[in-house]
Amino acid sequence: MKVFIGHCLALRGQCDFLLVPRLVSINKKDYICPKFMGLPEMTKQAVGKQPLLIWRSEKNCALGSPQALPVVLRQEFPARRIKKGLQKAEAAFRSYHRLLQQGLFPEEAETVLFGGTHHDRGEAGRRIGLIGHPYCLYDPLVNLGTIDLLHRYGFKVVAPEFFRPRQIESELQILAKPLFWTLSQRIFGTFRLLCKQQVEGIIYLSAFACGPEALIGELVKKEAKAIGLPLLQLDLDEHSGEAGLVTRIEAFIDLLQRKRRLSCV
Amino acid sequence: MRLTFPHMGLLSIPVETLLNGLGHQAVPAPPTNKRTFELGAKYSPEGACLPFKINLGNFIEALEQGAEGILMGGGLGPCRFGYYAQIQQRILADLGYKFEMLLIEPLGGKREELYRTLRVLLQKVSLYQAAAVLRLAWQKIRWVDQGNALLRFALPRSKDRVKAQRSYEHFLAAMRHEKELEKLGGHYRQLEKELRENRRPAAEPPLRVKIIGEIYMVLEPRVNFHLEMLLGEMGIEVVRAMSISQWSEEHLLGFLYPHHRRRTELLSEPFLPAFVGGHGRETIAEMVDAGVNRLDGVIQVLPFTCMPEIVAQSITPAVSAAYQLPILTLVLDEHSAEAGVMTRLEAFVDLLRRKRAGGKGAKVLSSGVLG
Repeated sequence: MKVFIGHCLALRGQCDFLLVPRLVSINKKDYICPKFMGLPEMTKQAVGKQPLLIWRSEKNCALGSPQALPVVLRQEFPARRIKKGLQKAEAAFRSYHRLLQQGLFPEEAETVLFGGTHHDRGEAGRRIGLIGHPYCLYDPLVNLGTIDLLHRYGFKVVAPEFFRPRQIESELQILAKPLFWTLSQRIFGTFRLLCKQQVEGIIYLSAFACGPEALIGELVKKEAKAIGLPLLQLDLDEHSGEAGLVTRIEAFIDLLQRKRRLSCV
Repeated sequence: MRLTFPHMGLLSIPVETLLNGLGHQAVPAPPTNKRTFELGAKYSPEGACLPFKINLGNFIEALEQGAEGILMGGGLGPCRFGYYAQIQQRILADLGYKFEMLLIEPLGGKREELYRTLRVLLQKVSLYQAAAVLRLAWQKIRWVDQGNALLRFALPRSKDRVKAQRSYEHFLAAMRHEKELEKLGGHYRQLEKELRENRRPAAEPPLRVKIIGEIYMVLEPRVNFHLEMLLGEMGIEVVRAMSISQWSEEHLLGFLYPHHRRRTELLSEPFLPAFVGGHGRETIAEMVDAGVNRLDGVIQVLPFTCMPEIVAQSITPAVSAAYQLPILTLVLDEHSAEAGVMTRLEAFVDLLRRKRAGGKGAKVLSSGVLG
């Protein structure tokens, strides 16, 4: 949230309008999170007088429909062109997700999508799971380069976006009550899948004071304890220091190695 | 079955009546106390909000007293309350308690859970009896809420404030044990009579402050440090639209009382034109209402990390500026101390007094996590 407002403030002087999405839900019967629902208003408070366009999405309504776009952007173009544009965007979005499911990270997927090439990292034998919200996982500035660090230690990192939504959904059937936060569903489903795939350990990056994560984290912790899977939960916020994070991750990796040695003997 | 339920302000009065009337035995948890805070904070996830922790503490204390079942509400999100029960059940089960969780889910979700709860609740009495008990409980909460509103009005205007509070406590005790529908009004009139006798000859009208925010924090006096009583004793009239009966009308019986929702939407439209879960939208609506009615100030109470209220909180400066309305935001968690709350309240009240005395007042805005 703070990062988003920061982006908006940086952009304030450079453009005529800011386009802010109101993400209510992207799946039927689910929500993203209350803070996203109030995002346009919160941004308005922060940026002051800058005109604001809101990209609306209602409950159960797809973001890709032409009605979702703000009127100002719509009025100058014929409806057919808008539709075509949206279809193009959606196609690109889908192929982007296909690339992610092949095991690429967002940055790599973007280069491939825009015509670049990608060289394989090669199959490392040891795998570590990484779960959390996408903006915590893939922004190296927010998570202080956790993914790079793990790669340097020779781990293959498995992230939630590598799995197909359908796989994740089937894992959620064991819950007594369906979760109503899309991102939490993804975290919990991935966690179950990772358990099945026998990763060595799981690192859970969560944002400090994130509401749904407080509850889901508890659920994940209990499950991990029940099957005896090593789990490291890290809360990130604007005060996180790189040294503190690195120390914790290194200690965790040491523990994993120790566990492996013991199980070999 | 020996059933318990979470505390929330005056909620225990009608729920106790309801459970006992349905042939179960109500085992109310001991009133929320220091141990409740400690137990709740110890076993809850760190980032969970305060109501979650207090509920959990209540449940543990009630289970220790021999409760066999827990009656709990549910929800459809995006507020975390909808998932409280599942996580709490897991935590309590890990602690080794044996109990049954009965959930009251709203109609929009899975209905099996609601039907199961109703089957268990209604197994001992006929439907006719159940309807009568339900009616008694409903009337009780309406009268009790009305009595509470009367006290909030009368407290700053009474000669002996301790005596006024004592009459109110007598009224609550009498209501709790009353079994006849016809006598409920009598208790209320008794309270009214006592408060009227206690009235001080009219001087200048007291300052009026509205309390808004997250419903649990607003309604549970043991968690918000008896905010209303503190203000009342300082000679401030506390205005509050939120109450259990009002909440039930708006959210459970919305089809019978559509005006509540329309009012909320109308008032919050200029500042927050979307639903943000929980009470975020209601908070903004009530704030605007306070501005329109020229109240002297507003106090917003929210638990630390409450998502909908954070959204509302970020919009408060706009409302405050638009109506020249002083707003104090109190963020409470299990580490908050009474002295900290008192200091802020006193300072806020001083500011309000000065604003009234000086005519055109300065814009006041304060917020912060209380340590």
